[in-house]
Amino acid sequence: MTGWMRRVLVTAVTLAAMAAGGMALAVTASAHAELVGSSPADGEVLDAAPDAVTLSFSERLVEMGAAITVRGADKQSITTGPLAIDGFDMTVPVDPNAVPGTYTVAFRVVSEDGHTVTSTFQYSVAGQLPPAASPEPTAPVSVEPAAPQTAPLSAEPTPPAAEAPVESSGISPVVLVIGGAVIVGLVIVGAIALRR
Amino acid sequence: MTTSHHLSRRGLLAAGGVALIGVASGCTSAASPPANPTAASPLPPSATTASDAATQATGQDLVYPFYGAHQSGVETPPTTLQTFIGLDLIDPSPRTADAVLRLVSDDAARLTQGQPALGDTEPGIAASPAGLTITVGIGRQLFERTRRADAIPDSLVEIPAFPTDAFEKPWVQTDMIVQIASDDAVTLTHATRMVTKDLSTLVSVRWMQDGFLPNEPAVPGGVGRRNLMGQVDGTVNPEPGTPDFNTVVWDDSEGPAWVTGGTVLVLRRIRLLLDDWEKLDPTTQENVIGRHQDSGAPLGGTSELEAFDYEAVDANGLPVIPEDAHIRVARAASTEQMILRRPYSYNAGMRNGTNDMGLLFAAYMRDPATSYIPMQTRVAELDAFNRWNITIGSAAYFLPAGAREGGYIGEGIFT
Ligand code: HEM
Repeated sequence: MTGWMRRVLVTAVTLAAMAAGGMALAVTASAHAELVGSSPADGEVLDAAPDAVTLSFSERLVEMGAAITVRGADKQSITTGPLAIDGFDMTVPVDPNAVPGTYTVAFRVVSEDGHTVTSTFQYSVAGQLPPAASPEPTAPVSVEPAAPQTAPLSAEPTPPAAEAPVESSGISPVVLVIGGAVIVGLVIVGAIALRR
Repeated sequence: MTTSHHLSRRGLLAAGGVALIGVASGCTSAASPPANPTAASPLPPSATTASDAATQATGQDLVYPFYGAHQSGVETPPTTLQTFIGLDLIDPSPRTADAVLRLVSDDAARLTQGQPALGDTEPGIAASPAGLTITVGIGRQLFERTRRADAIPDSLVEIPAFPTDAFEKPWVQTDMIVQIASDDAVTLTHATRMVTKDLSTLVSVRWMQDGFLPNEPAVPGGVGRRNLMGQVDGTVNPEPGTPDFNTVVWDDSEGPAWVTGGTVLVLRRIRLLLDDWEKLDPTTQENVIGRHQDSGAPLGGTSELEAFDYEAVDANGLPVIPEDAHIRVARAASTEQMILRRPYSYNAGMRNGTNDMGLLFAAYMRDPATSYIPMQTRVAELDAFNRWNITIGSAAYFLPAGAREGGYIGEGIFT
């Protein structure tokens, strides 16, 4: 084999190996943490307001950069204390006397592999809003205009957070398969040629 | 430059090199140093005075003043290269301390102006100052070791231990520091050579720390430069030439002449844990600092210098800049709590199979007790960034006021 041919091949093999490495990285990155469950669950309708919201992830979390809000129609957060991170879970206490309605949970967490996951989901508390002449008139019962809210909330809450899907790196499996095959081929051809 | 300057300088060199060492051991010197080195006037007259603060020349000819109310190397623009030399006096007497200050001042007065130092064998290098500044600082321990503890400026307090400290020899406190900065590596190295050669009989050098910066700010019209994590660093700082700068940096107490117009330097050596950092996704990296990596803009913003609200929340009520982000934790609540940062990167080769690279965190402030110490306390306790760096050295010095024309830095401290 002439010197230049060899150089070309070495370059090709190196490039292929680098591309494979890059793809491996992309694959690892796409296997990052995601929300795998929560209590209340996404879209769940509860009979009574919960006293905490717990989120479970596919990877261990680190105590860093985390934030969570749980907000009703009035956009006021009903969290009553700091969030806590424990292994794969994040928990935050919320007001157990929260009024019936739909609540949006928005969160940002960082997994042990250094990935930031941020998303939202919703749950609802069924039941009737307290009558206007509440025993605690100062409590911010509802900021919704009075009339429409007198009807009991239906058992059909807001659909599960369609508007804010969990981030993902979005490399299609087809691309991965084809790309991988091409690279493997290149490496083999190159290696055989080099051996000669 | 007159012959008498050479002679007096030689006398001083002899005073340092022979009188303090040789006479002590009983030998009589042919150089016959002046009985009292303080009587000598070692410094050459200089073309540049404090009133010439603005420099005309650029590039290799760039000159910053030596004489003036403040030492150069603090308010002057950062050069691309900077070396810190930590040194200890072999014989910690007031007389030696004074001799060191005179010798360094003499070298600085000449070299920073593009003139050869006395006995300079390479005047060709000296002719190309490229923004050379030579700045001198004194540690608490030198005042103590020379029994001048009563002269310690109020601002030069002990820097307390922080939970993130993980000091490694030798990067800790020394008697004195000489900071040498230039845009030219050969000029800087030559100045380093001249200063350490002239002081060689008086001091032992504990460490040298070499720092570097990119040639230009990271974004056009910006101020910060990229560090080895690629972050735009040095954005939020007092602006030279403004009243805020004076408030943040310069000592305005009615102390002795060498105190008023001085400042405190805190130098920390911070190793960056690049192997771990590089595994983070870009969003996480930006959230850790609180600024965008490419533009240096605050999260959610578009330009490095734009005004923004550290407490801003997004549409879902989540903080735009995480609560434990570096800039949110470190941020000074007022001008009085601020510091001037002149951060330089370092590269110290390989260590345990990976790069020993990081940041020479050089900060200058009028009063560390109200600025740097509370800031570092917050950073050590709360900053998300702590996972990716480790503070392996720390030292603090008082940088006396600038030398008056014909005088020297620190004149009056040890005499
Ligand atoms: C490895 C060490 C460090 C690195 C790489 C680093 C990097 C940065 C970066 C990229 C910024 C944002 C841009 C800017 O305003 O300059 C920043 C800001 C800042 N840093 Fe650091 N930093 C480090 C250590 C420290 C330490 C030890 C302190 C002080 C205790 C500190 C104090 C500050 C302050 C006060 C700000 C400006 C915050 C604001 O007002 O927005 N930094 N740093």
